[in-house]
Amino acid sequence: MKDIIRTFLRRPAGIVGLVLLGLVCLMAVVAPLVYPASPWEMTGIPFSRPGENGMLLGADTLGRDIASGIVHGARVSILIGLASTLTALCIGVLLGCISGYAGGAVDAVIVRFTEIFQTIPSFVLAILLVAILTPSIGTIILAIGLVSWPPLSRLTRAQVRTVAQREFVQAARCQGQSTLSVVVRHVLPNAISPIIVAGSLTVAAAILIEAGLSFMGLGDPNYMSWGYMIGSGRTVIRQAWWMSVFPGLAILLTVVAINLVGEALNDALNPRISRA
Amino acid sequence: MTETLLAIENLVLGLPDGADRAHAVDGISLTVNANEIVCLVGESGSGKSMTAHAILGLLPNKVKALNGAIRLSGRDLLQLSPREMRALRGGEIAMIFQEPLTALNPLARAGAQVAEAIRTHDPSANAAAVDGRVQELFGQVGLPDPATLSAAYPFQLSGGQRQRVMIAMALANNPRLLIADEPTTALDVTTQRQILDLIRSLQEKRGMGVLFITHDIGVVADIADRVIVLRHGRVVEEGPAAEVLSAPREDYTRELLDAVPGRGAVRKAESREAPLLEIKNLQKVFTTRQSFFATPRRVVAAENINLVLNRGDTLAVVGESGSGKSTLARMVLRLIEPDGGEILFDGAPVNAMGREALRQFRRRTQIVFQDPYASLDPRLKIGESIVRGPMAFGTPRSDAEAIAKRWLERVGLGAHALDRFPHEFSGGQRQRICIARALALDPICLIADEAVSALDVSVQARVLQLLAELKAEMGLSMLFITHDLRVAREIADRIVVMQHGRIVEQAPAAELFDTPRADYTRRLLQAVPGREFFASRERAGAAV
Amino acid sequence: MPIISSLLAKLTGIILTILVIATINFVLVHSAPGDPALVIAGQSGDTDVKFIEQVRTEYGLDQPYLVQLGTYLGKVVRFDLGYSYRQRRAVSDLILDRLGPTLLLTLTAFFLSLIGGVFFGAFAGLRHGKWSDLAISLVSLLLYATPVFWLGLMLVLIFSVQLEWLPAFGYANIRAASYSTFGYAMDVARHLILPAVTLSAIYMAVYTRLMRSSLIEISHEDHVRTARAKGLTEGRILRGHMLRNAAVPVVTFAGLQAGALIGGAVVVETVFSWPGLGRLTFDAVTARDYPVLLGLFLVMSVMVIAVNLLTDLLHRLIDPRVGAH
Repeated sequence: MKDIIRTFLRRPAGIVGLVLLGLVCLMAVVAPLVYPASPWEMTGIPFSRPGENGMLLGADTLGRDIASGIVHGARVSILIGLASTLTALCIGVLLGCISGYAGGAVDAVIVRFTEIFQTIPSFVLAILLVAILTPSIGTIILAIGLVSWPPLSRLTRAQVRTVAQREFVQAARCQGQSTLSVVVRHVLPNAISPIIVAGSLTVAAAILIEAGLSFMGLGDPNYMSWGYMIGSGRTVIRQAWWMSVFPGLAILLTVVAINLVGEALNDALNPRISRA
Repeated sequence: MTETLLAIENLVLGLPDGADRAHAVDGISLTVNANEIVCLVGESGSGKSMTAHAILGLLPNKVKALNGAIRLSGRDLLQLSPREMRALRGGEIAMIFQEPLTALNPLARAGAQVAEAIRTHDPSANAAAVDGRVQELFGQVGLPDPATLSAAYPFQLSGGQRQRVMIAMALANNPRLLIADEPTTALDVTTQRQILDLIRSLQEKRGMGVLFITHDIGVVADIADRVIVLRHGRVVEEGPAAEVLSAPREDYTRELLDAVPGRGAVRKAESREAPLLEIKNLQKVFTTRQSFFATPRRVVAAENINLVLNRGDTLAVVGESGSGKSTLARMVLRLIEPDGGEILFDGAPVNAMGREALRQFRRRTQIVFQDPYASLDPRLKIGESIVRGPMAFGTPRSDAEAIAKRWLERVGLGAHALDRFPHEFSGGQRQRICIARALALDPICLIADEAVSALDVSVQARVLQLLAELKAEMGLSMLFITHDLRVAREIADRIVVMQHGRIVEQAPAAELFDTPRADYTRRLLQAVPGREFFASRERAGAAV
Repeated sequence: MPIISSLLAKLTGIILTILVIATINFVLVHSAPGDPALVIAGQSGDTDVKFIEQVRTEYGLDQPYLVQLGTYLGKVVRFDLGYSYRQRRAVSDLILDRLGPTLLLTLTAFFLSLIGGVFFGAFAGLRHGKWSDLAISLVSLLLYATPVFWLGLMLVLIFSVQLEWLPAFGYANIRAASYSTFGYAMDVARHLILPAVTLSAIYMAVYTRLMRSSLIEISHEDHVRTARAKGLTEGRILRGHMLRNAAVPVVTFAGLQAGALIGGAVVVETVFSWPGLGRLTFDAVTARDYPVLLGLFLVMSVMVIAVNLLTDLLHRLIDPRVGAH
């Protein structure tokens, strides 16, 4: 464990990512303290430029504070990113484990099912799900989770299969340990690190999908989100660049931060590659 | 007077910081003359491969030549420009490698890869001439139907065929010096024999100098004119092969020779005890299909396998890759389920055992695997790996730890190994740990699946010795799976020879070696490297 | 024989996939809150009692679920994707009208990203550790994290609003109908540049990263050492023994990304008012026109399958091992 942290900290990119991510999380936590008013409230003059009328990043077409929207939007992005990844991990890891360890017909069916789900254009399915189930935080999380699990399932299956064939697992079976004990104590611990890394990258992808959904007008109407801000500023981009530029930068930085952390994690957890 | 082709003078190769030692090669000097085969022999870590790669300037990035010279007909190769070096590679000096699986480009046709070697050194050659030359080379290295095979992709060829293609490629520009880096190590013995014969005959025909890298003294005895023994990056002993092998001056050389298994008297007889393990009519076919409609590929792993292991005996199952011997071991423990037939342990059918009965059976029949690096959970301390077995059968942790300690001491590692991780041990030590783990359950039967195949000969000899002692102490019965007849001869009372999932012959060990009945057994015996040399050494030894 | 059997396998796979997707559609309609007939009618049709009644009988909504599913699948097989009450047209007609521009956009972006990714990835991989490698890696890291629609807007801001080089939206000028064929094609091409670059940029970033690491890995392989031992120059080793091998995983991965590419097309077409299926999706979402959304989902899935077949073909071309056993 100590080694893992040490390797992680030796990567400057990982530290940059961690700091950025920390800032975004901090923003999400302190949002109600810094901007106690709802980000939907029209507090200023429409089309205020950044810095004008006491608005750090300007106001949108209805006079809502962009800075407030960005700070509050961090909450939605982080929440949806984590919750939908968790959903995807639950489905993907469970199916992948069963498929990889059981083999045979069970495996064949699950693999086929996963393949089909991987063919489906996931963003379009997410749109369809949210549109039909009506947009809310819950349906958005569910939809993103439902379209994000196939790569995790494939990865888990591949990992479990490789590890399960390793001789120490066979030796554990011959030692008389129960199947559950073999899977939980020997297979998973040795298979898990790429899955953790893929999970962290899934958070980034989920944040991008959420942004896309709210850009299309499928966000939860009760929560301000970055994608929504860009979507509503889109039509006036010729007059008011700031309405789209700042929320986009927020998404970009958050996703870059998570990807950097994920990569550093990868190097730390898979020492074989980091040595090369 | 023979011409000195290659002279390595006081070569020092530096390893990067943080390696286990500073120099991979520490002041090696050697020569190779035209028209002779020089064997560079040594165990892992001796620096033999590094030396070979240094000649062609193919060292890994972080390894640097710090001192010395490598002269080809007087010219120092270490001082050449990259351009001059390229002209030599594949031209005057050619090289073949260990892994025929990966040494060829998987996406290019075999013939094209050889043709490329010709065109690189003779850009003006026309297509038809190059093509003709490729076919000719394919014929010379004994590839059947050169026209078809030169159009094949590497994945369509067998391991032996790929190595022949590699040799054809190496010979493409009539090199004066051929470097062969363990060219037969990854091959089955019968294929190894063919490739060795091929290299020998091509060398004689062409008067080439050959530097042949190997870890196998038997191969040295078969092929070498001169031999150089390496250890830890230094030359231990060198001289004409006949002299060094029959009258070694250095202890290390003698050790290497003595460690070669399968020389002592064959064990006399089987016991007359009752059978412990009986296998009747065992069947297993692996079918893989790409899709529902594709014709499935069938690989027969077991066809009508019948054998008996008597109490207190050691039964060796010998076969080349794909013979089904490892599948057999796994089927006994039901790590793989057979398609049909019966396995009786102490009279009880293993196939019919429920979960608890199977657990109890596996406790009494333990297994040691081939790969010492994959056999231990890298995330668990050694002690933890061992105690989990007894604990799974209800032994309290403190007692299990005492058991683990006792066995670790018995296999020669000491109790301090308990708290260490697998990566802190060498291959031989890990194999001892695996043996301790198996024996901690107090089994009456031990299955060794190629348990010594991945080890250096000297380590192998000591592990075999340990197994023999333990067997005597505990009255173990052993099912010993190996590809190496020499190892089988060392340890077995009775031997079963398998090929393509069938038993071709089974007999008491002595009988099998003295009067082999099956053709295939005879071929295997004849293919054993260094067979004649060791036989004559045996007779000489007996005479003293 | 192996070709026929693998074709058969492909075909069953495709049919199976389409059936599963249609079934998802069916399940979705029925899991939506409220009356499925209202969902099928779409938000503007749900007040027309006569239309609702017609939907109910046409889809057999009073029948058991399995019969309903059968009815629905039967319709899908006949390419009857329902009726958009709002647009007063059959969904299949709406989709066929918009298919061309989307194919043009996605295929352009697909090849652009693949070629660009292989090129930049190889460039960076060869200069492993040098500043040009770092620069390419950094740019691809950033692009990879950029929301597509935002990237599109930024390009519009720079190339249309500030520099006024390229049109910001649309498929062709309003007067384009009067142009010659060549003039028309050039006009469409000018309009295509920004959306295609936007859509391909992110995938180019992905493929660049993949190609780079793949090339670095290949450079350590045994057969590259063999090529070096043959006396080949580094350039020839690269061209003959590394590029193609390194591109194999990139092509495989591109196939897996086909679905995401079409998802990306939805937002890109929205940003650039490109009159394709994506724009149609946006309009249907805004109007809650469910029959159109359901039909689009099905058709886009089929497009993904088609792109998958294409990458399969590419894969076969560069890797002789595929489909040989």
